[in-house]
Amino acid sequence: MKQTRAERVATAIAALVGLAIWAALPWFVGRGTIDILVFSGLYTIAGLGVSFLLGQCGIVSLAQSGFYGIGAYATAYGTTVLGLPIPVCIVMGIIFSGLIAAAVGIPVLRLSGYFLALATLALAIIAHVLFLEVEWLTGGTLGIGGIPRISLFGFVFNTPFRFYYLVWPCAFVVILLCHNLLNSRTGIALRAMRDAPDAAAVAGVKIESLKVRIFIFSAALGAFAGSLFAHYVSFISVDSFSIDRAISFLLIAVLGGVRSIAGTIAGALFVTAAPNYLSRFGDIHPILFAAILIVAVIFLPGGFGSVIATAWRASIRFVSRNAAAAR
Amino acid sequence: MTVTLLVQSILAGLTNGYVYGLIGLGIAVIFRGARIINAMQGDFALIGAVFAYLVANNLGLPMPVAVVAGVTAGGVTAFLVERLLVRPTAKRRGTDDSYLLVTLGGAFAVSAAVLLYFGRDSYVLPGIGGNKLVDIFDAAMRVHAIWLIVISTAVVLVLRWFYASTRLGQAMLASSIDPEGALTIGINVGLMRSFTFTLGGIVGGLAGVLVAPLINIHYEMGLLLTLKGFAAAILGGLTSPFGAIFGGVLLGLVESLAVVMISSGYKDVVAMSLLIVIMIAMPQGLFGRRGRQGG
Amino acid sequence: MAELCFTGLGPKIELSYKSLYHLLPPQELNARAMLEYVTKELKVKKIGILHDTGYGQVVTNQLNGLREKYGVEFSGVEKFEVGASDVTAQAAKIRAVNPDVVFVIATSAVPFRNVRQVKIEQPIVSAIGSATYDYVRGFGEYADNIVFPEFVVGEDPKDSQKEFVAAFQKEYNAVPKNFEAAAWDAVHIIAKAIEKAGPTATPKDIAAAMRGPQAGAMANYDFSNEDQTGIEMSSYVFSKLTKGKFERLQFTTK
Repeated sequence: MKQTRAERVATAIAALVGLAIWAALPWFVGRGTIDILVFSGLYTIAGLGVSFLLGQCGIVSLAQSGFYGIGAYATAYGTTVLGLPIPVCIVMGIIFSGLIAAAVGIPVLRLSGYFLALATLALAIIAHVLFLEVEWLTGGTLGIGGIPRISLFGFVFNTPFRFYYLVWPCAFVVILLCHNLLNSRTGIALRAMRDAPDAAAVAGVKIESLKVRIFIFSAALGAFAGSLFAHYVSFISVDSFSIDRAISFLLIAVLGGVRSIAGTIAGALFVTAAPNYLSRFGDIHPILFAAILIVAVIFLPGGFGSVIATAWRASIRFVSRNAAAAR
Repeated sequence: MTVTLLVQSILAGLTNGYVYGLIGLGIAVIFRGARIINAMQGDFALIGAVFAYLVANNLGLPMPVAVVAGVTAGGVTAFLVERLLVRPTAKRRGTDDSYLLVTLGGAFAVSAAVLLYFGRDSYVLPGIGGNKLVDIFDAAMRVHAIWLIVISTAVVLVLRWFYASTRLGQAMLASSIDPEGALTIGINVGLMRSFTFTLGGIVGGLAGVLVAPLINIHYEMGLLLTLKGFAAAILGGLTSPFGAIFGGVLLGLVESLAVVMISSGYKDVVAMSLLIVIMIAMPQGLFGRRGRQGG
Repeated sequence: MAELCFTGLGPKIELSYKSLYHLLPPQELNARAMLEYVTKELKVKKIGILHDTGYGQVVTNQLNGLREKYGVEFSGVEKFEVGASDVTAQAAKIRAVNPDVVFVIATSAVPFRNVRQVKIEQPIVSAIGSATYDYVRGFGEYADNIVFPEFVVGEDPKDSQKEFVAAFQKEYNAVPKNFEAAAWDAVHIIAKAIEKAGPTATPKDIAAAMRGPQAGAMANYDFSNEDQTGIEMSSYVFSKLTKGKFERLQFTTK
């Protein structure tokens, strides 16, 4: 849909203002908050994978924790044991993830609905056990430590403050990728597959292969996030790749609103920040989190994304009305 | 592999299988009646077990009273969940995922509440026949486990009769299969959905009271049971109570035999892989109706 | 700044910290204590191990490393996930190899119950993590014939522990065990270090004041030791859980 002039101007202004706020934020908040923001960035990348799969293909995937882990362990093992450079290891992780996604995706994606959801959960459980058992690769219960930090031209990203300026540009790149994908021929095919699958099939859209390709894309995002995670915390162990993590990623996608990229960012912020801020209420904080979750799900069926979209449209109308009045 | 070891693992698999199946049964009941996946089913069981424990230990009342208390608590909780969580979501046009997430939120809330009240310790509920064991080929099975199997089978039969032969059961089925058609013939669809949830809660509470003596009550019990129950229900076709029990037993046996024949470390890998294979090979589940593709 | 932690030495990265002090023994020491007891007192050859994939795995790794030194055989090693609700199948496998003694290393009461339910009559030896009254309650009627290498048996304390045990009983009207003693020691060590370093001390000075031998109620520490704990084998006491009560055994280690 072509944007009106008002929309384009508004988008540009919003982007600039947003960018300025983003860049300035770490100077004004404490280290703990920046850490949360870094994790929001990591989870945005992983969450976008789940969100894409759900929003464009209608697939509920609980397997993202597995791909997150594959990315993390690939880069951890590659850098600490094999001594390979970090970018190589990150790419390695993404490729492994993609290969495994293809291998399991082709049979599994033939399922649909709740069967498929259960199958992805089964995959996550299998991944979790394998991370524990394949000790020579993952370190088992004790994990892998001493993972090197990422450095660019001598600048080492070894504090939350610094990593913030690494993870979010990566997230922006991923967001751009998703946006372009949605507006490409593949994006049209996806929308066709989602809204009118029979017509799409008649028009020549290869539905099975499209699902697998999006699954691979989602897995790649998960692996990328996992690799960045490993280089941020420098010590990883099995506990980070459990079913709880899988549920968190799904929560981010659904709470954010699966058709909305901005919503996914909001979802990631919520899932990382809320438990932290609620903990100052003491022992009842898990109940508070659950209550807020329930309220959010009931009152925002389109997720945070729908709220953002509504607010955005309203503000554009406001701006263009005033601009028209001023003329 | 001795006969004893094989028999013991089959008995353990059977026992665990019925545990999973009972939870799966509740999920199947609610799905059959309301087309909603209830992520709180394991927590209905947890609530049932907790109330039974409180009535027996803190109030000192005899076990049969505690059991009734537990079952009732499950039913009441489910009723409240339908009113406070499900109905508002439906009114605001929630998607399938919304129901899953809202019941997931409910599951987190229950788990957190139990953690707050009970802490991280596990608590024991006495079973039928105490801790008495039965000897089969030198392998042991708890008397309570046998009762669990018997009662579960009875529940399945009662449900079958209920849905097939009573007006209420038929009305509940009708409201789920064709809500608009049911409305036109005067069935109060909303009320039927409340009944479905309450029935699911009663089954859940009963499951909790029967299962707690075997696995100990602790705050994480809910979600763990729900996952297994979900697998059992899906294997059984999602709408068949009998199928859920069968799916549960299959899962339990596969787990046990995997431990004994392959290795204890890879138990879940084997069980989950088999689950995936079964789902791909049998799209209707083991007892579902044709035309259903996993929901 | 000094950090006192209530765990045994964990991932290797901890060794790079100068002021990280542990009040509980490393798992290698716990494993050694278990093996000392079963080889020197029970004189066994075949051991069965039932452990969980968290705490149990760490201890079992250490046990595997010490196997040759103590000349024992782990004829059955079975594991289960941390939240497992039933481990009957794993327990049955252990029973089938007919060991002389069974090590159960877990953070829940479930394996202890299942082991007895599949009719394993052999003695059970566990680790310090399970030696609390909460576990005893969780064991139910199976709280019997289980041996723990630990540090504090409140019903029969060592001379160095009598003051702490009496004070605890007076305050809480309950019998203390290892973790309560560790907490007592931690606070006293901090207080002593602050006193020694003086009123103008920086956190670094206080950390330095602690970095040496410390005598405690639970055990005697030496934070300058390379394992950041300095607990000696001689600090261990061995208790046997008999019908829900801990009894201190005569057996000691050097």
